Amino acid sequence: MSPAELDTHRVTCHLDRLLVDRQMTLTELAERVGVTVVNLSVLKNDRARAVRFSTLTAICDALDCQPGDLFSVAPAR
Amino acid sequence: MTRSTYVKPGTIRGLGLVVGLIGLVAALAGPTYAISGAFQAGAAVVVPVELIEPPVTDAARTSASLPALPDGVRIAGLTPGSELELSAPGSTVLEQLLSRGDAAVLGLAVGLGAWLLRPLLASVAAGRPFGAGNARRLAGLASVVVVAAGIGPLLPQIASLAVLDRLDLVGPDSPFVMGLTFAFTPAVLTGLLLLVLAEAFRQGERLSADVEGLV
Repeated sequence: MSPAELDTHRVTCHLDRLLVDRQMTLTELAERVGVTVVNLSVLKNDRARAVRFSTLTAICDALDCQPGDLFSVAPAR
Repeated sequence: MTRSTYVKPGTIRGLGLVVGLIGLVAALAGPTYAISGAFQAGAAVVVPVELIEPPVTDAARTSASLPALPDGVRIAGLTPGSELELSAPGSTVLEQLLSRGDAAVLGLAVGLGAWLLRPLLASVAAGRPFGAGNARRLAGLASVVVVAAGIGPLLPQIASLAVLDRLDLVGPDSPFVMGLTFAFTPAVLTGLLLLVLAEAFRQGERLSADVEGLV
């Protein structure tokens, strides 16, 4: 798969909303999950192109949510 | 358990500096040595030769066992284990250039190789071994090794043929071997190994692109 193809995904991350709901900062989440703030910021701003299952599991554990709460796929234009 | 590092970044950076320096010196010295030969036209030129009937033993490598040669022409390298060389006066510019051509090719190859290796070493030291262009650089290095090893040794042999032709030592009665000899295997093997490494780096570059943006 070429980088251009990877950039065409329509996955939207709802990490910012979940953080607000849990009254948690990105730094706190980064500490709990064991991922750098930079990487979580990449995820939050929809600049990530892939997520490790281990990262996803840790985020869901920390936010007490399911992957479906974290991500959604925007309708095709 | 994996090692933390095999070579420290500082060492790699130092190596890159040394490689660059060697490349610069070689790229200047090789061609300079060859070109300086052009200014010695008329003087004796030394070229490698091979006898059709080589002495059976090293002990037999005496001037007595060698063919009669024109005045002023000498054969050197009669010591056991060394290559035979013909020294002939009255050289031409082309003969001098060709006789030293291997040094020029080697110097340019080392220089070009260093120019290709330096950014590769720098990117490895920076923790980005699969940075863009490294596979291409290794493939280029493979080409440089094969081409230089192929062309370099041929030039003094061509000079030998030119000298023997000038001395009228060519033809069926010549005591010397006519033709060019290739000793290509080590260079081709090295080039092939470098190409394999280049392919590994190409795949590494692809994997690196794949994990870009991975959280």
